[in-house]
Amino acid sequence: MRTLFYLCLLLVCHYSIAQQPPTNEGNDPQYTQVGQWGFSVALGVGQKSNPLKGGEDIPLYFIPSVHYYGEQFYFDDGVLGYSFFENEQFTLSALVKLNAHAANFYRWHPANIFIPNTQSLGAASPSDEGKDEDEYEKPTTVELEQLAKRKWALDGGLQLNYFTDNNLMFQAQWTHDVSGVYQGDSLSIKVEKNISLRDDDRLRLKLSAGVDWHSAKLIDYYYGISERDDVDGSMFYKGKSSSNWFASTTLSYVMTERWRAVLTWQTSKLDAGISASPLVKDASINTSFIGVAYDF
Amino acid sequence: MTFKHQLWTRLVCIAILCFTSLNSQASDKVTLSIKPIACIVASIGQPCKLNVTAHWQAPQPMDLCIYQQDKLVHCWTNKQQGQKRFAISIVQSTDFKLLNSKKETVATVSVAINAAKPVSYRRRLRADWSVF
Repeated sequence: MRTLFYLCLLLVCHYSIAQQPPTNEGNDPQYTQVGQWGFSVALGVGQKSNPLKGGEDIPLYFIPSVHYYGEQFYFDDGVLGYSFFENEQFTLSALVKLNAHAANFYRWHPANIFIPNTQSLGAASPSDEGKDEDEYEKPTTVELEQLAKRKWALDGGLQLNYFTDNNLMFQAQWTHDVSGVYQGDSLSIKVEKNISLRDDDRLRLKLSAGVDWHSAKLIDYYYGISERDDVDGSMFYKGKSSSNWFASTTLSYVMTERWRAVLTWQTSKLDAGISASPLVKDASINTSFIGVAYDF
Repeated sequence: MTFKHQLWTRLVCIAILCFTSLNSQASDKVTLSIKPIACIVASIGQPCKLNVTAHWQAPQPMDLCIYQQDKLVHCWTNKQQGQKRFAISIVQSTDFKLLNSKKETVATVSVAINAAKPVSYRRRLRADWSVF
């Protein structure tokens, strides 16, 4: 997994030297017109895996996308934000969004509809680093039906984006549970590179990779097992803070002004800490999709 | 009459002839004016509704019609000048043309649309992962 990340990083750095800055904001998909709503739908075939035991994979046939950007306010696929500082290179924003962890427990969670990052799963304290999954004592399995309800949570925080002149973006994000559900925090660092593979800009590749850190409170709320659940005490599990690597790639080809073909794949590695939870069966989450997208 | 006086007289005559000639050339053309010449909207794409006044003048009586793009607005018969006030609704800069009886364009004026707030763009801060 880490090898894959470094490969992506190498490719990103290579292309960041070769690429030129965009010359026309109106035609650049990284930009959007201020004050106009944007609607898109993608139709195709894909799947988002569910790491939970008894949890069903999410089939992807129809993926909507909605965004609106004002001068400072914005909404983009479930993220509500306010950018209070913005220039050519930096954007500092405050944001709120639904925590994606609940998406593994609810089929129709927005994170399973807009398909934002499934990065967020994972549990391993810093002291767990270097341990293999097998080193954890894994209790016997627990049925999802035995679990107390894991509520949806609303996260709020700050996000800093740094854009270079060559379609390379660095993002740092801190969020805290503002809904009082799990009362924990998350930190995320991501690098994203958009590459034009043809002179006419029709074929584009987006690569991104990064790491997420989640506090023990967050992991314990969603993946821990305790007295709140209807299970034997021998199966109790205490979630720990964790850092998880993720990487994704999206290839898109502009067919007409409104139609695009898209192919995307993403993987997120779950640390040993979370995969040791009796709730979890897979140590990674994979999402893939191939189809066409239409911009209204 | 001295040579100096003769020279000045000739220069004045030439100047008068030139001015008369230029004035004659200018008056050969049909002139069209539209007021106001521009419309301000909050942002591009919004319709602009306003009353405009078209005024034209020709060197001799003519049959002329004024068009908004290809849409007929008003006609005058055997007039040397004309004026018409009418309402328009436009979403982009629009040409107004005077056509003679042979359907030849003899004058054109454009009414421009300007946005109080020009089109601006922002970088998207997308959700962490998206097929879009």
